Amino acid sequence: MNIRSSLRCLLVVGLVSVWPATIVATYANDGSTDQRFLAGLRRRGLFELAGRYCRDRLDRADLPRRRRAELVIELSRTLAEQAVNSAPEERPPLWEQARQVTDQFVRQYPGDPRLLLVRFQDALGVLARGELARQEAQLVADNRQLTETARTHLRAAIQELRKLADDVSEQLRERSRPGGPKTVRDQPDQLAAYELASLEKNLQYQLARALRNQGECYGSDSPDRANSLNQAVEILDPLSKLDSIDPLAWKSRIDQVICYRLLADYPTARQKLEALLQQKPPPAIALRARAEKIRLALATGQLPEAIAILSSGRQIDGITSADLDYAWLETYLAAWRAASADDAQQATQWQTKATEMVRLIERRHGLYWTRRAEMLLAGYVRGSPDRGDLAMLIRAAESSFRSGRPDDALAAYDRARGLAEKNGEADRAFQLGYVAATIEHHRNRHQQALARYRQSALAAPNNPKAPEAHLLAIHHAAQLARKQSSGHLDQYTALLQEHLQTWPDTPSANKVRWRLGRLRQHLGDWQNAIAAYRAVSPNDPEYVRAVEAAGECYRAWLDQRKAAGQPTEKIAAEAAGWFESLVLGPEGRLPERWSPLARQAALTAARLRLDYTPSGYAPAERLLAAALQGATDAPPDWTSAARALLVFSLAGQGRRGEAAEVLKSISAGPPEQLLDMLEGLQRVAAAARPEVRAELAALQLHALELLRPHQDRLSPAAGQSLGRIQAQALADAGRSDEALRQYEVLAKASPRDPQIQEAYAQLLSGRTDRTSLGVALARWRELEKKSAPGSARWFRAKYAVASLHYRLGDHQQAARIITLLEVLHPEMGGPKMKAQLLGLLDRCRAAEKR
Amino acid sequence: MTPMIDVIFLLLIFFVCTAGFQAAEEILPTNLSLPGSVSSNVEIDLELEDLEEIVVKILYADGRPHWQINQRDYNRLAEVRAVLSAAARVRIDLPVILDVEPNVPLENLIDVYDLCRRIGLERVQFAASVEP
Repeated sequence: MNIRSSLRCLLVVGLVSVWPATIVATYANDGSTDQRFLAGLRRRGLFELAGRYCRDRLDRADLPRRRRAELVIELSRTLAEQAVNSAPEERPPLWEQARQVTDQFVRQYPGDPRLLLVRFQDALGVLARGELARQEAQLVADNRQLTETARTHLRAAIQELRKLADDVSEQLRERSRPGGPKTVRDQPDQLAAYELASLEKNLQYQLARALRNQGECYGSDSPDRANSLNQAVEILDPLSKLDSIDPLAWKSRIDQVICYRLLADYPTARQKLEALLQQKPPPAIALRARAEKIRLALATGQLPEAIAILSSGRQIDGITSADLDYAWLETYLAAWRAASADDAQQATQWQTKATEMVRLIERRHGLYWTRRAEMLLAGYVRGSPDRGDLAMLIRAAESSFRSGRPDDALAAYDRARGLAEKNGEADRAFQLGYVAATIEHHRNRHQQALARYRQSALAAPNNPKAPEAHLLAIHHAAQLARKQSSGHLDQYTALLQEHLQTWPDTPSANKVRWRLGRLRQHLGDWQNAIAAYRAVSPNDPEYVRAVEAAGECYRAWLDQRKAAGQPTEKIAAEAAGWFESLVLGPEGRLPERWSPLARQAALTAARLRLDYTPSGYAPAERLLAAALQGATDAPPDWTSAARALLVFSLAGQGRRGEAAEVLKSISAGPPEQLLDMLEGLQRVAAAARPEVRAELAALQLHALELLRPHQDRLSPAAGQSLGRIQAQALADAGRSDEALRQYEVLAKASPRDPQIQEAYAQLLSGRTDRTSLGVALARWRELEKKSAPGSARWFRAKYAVASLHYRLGDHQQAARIITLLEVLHPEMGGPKMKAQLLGLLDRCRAAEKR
Repeated sequence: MTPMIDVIFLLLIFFVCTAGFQAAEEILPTNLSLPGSVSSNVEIDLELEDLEEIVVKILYADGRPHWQINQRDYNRLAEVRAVLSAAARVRIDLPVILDVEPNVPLENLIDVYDLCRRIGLERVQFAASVEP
C-alpha cells in the first residue's frame, strides 16, 4: 500500500527540486503521455515550448477539472524550473508567473478536491526560490541581501507546508471517523485516503528540506541554525525508516546525513552514511552518497581522504550525477587552495583540473549546475591569496557577469588584465580591459566606462581596436557633457584632442574631427570649428556634411564680424577660394561630372563671394554659370538656388537687363519653376546688402508680372507663396505701404501661417510711428505664444518684443525680458541670437542710466 | 453610591486631561493651474505676460529627484535654487508652476515648494491635467 500510494502521489505532484533531473526522471517513468512529454521538454531546456503546451490546453473551456489541475501544476513547475535555469535578472517574472498560475486556480476553484496538490506545487515553487537564493548567497561576496531574500521565501514555504500538512491530516482524520467518507466512488476526483497519506509523507519530506535550507541561512554557531536542522532531522527520521522500495526512503536517508554534517555532528553523519551504503542503494542514490562522503571528508579537514574518494570514479552503471561532479569540483578547489601556500606547480595543476571540471559540468548538466559551478569557482578565485591562472580568472569574471554581479565581474576582469599585463600579453590585457569597460557601458555608468575605455586604449595604442575604444570613451564623455556641468565639457574637449594626437591617421580621427567641429560650432568658436571640419579627410563618408557645416560656420563667423563692423572681405575670399578648390580639384579644372560635393561647394563659394566681398559678383557669376551648365542632373532645389544666385550676381553687377533675361528664360518654362526660382531669390535677398536687395526686389516684381498670365495654373498653396513673395518684394523695394496692405490681407487669410505672421510683424516693426509699433508688439506677442518655447522663431519673437519695448521707451521691461531669458535659457538661442540679445540688453542698461 | 460617583468623577477628570484636540489642517496656499482654464474677469498684466512663466518639472528616477526648469535639466537642488533666485531678482511676483510626476515622493515636492517660498516667489501653482 505504501509503495503504491507513493508512486501514485508522485504521479500527480510535480515536485520542483534542487535536483530537477532526478525528479523529472521519476516523474517520467510513471506519468501520463502528456506529463512524460512535458518532462522531456523540460529536461531539454525547452521551457517556453512546455509552457505554451500547457497554456494552449488550459485555454480550452471544456477541459475537465482534474486535467486542469494537473496542467496548472505542470505549468507552475515548468515556470519554476525555467526560473532556476535562467539568469538572475530574468527570474523574478518567472517566479511570479509560477505563483500566479496556482493562485488563479485556487481562487477560481476553491472547493476542488485537487486543490491540495495545487497548493503543494505553489509552496514548492516558493521553496525552490528560497533554496536557490540560499545557494547563491553562500557563493557571493556580499550576501546579506540574498540571504535575507532566501530566509523570507523559506519562511513563507515552511508556513505554507505546515498549513498544508495540517489540512491533509484533518482530511485523513475525517476519513477515518466513523461515518466519514471512505470511498471515492461517488467523487472520482477526490483524493483517496492512501493518496492523502502519501501526500502527507511528501509534505513532511519537503518541510524537512525547507527547514534544512533555512538552517543553512544562519552561521555555523547560530542557535537558529541548530534549531532548524534539528527539526529537519526529527522529521526525516520516520521517513528514513520507511521500506527501501519507497522513493522517499533513500532521499530521506541522504538528507539526514546532510543535516548531521551541517550540524557538525560528523560521527553520526559518518555512521548513517556507512549504514546507507551497506544497504546497497540504487546507482543515483549511491552517487549522491559518494558526493556526501567527499563533503564529509572536506568538512572534517581530511583533504587526502576526499581526493582518495575521487578514485572511485564519477559514475556507477553508466549513470553520472551532477551533485557528485560538483563535489569533485569542490575537492579540486580545496586542493588548489591547500597547494597554493607551498607548491605553486601543484596549485596550477589543481586549478587546471577545476577549470576542466567546470567545463565538464557545463557540457553535461545544463545551465543550473553550470551557474553553481561557475559561482563556486568565482568565489574561490575572489578569495584566493595568489592570483590564479588567466583562464580561471576569465571564467570567474564571466560567471559573475552572467550571475548578475557586475561588480564582482569587473574585479575579476581587472585581476585578469593585471595578470595578462604581467605575462606580457598586451593584446589579451587590452581585450579584457575592453570587455570590462563594455560592462560599464551597458550599465550606462558613463564616467566609469569612459575611464576604462580610455585606460585600455592608451595602454595599448597600437592595438587595432584601441582607437575604437578611445572613441567609445569620447562617446561617454559626450553623454556626461550633455547632462552635466562645464567640467565635463572640458573633459570631452581634452579627449577629442588626445585622440587626434594619438591616432591622427585612423578613420576614427575623422569622426573625432567631426565631433570637434560640432562642439566648436555649438560654442560659437567658428575658427576652430572650421579648422576641424576642413581637416576631415575627403575619403570619409561624412565629408560632404563636414563641408556643408564648414560653410555654415564661415557664414556665421562673417555675419558676426559684419555685425561688429569688422572687415569680412579677406576671410570670405579665402573661404570662397577653399570651396572653389573643392570644385576644381587638384588639377584646377572644372569637373566633367558635378558630384554633390562639387555642387554644394560651388553654391557656398558663390554665396560667400556675393554676400561678403564687394567685388565677388563676377567670379560668382562665372562659377554659377559653369555649374548650371555642367550639373544637368542636379536636383531642382539646387538648380533654383543656383539660378537665384546667378540673377543676384548679375543684378549686383548692375546688369539688370541680363538678370531679367535669365528670369524671362525661366518664365518660358513651367510656372512652378519660376516660382521656385523666385523663392530662392527671396532667400538670397534676405541676406543681401540693402541696395542689392532693392535691385533684386525690382527683378522679383518684374518676374511676378511675367508669371501673372499663368497664375491660374498654380495650386492654391503656390498662389499663397506668390502673394508672400510679392509682399516681401514690395517691402524690399521700399514700397512699404503697399507691402503692408498685401501682408494684412495675407495675415488675415492665413492666421496660422507663422512665416506670413512673422514677416508681417517684421514689416510693422520697421515703421516708426508708435501706433504701428504697438500693433507690431501685439503681433510679436501672439507669435511668441504660438511658437514652441526654445525654438528659433520663439527667440526671434522674444527679441522683437524686447526691442519694441526699448523703442517705445520702456527700457526696464526690455531689460527684464532679456535678463529672465538669460537665466532660464543661458544659450539664448545660439551665439548669433545671444549676441543680438546681449547687445540690446547693454543698450537698455545704458538708456536706464541716462 | 458615593464611591461610584467619586470614581466616575475621577475618570471624567482623567479623560478631560488626557484628551487631545484635533490639529487644524494646514492648507497649502497655492492655486491649481489647469491647462486651458480661463477666468473672464481677471485683468491681464501685459508686462508680466511678456515675461516667461517659470515651469519647474520635478522628476524621479534611479532613486533620486531631477528637475527641469523650462525644459532645461538640473541634477542638484542647489542649481535649481540659483536659477529661481536669479529669476526672482528680475521680478518677485513671477508665477512658478510646479509640474510633478506621479512617482515623485512628497518630500521632494515640498523641497521645491519651500525653496520658492524662501526665495520670495509667492505665486506657486501646481500643474494638473484635466480628467476626460
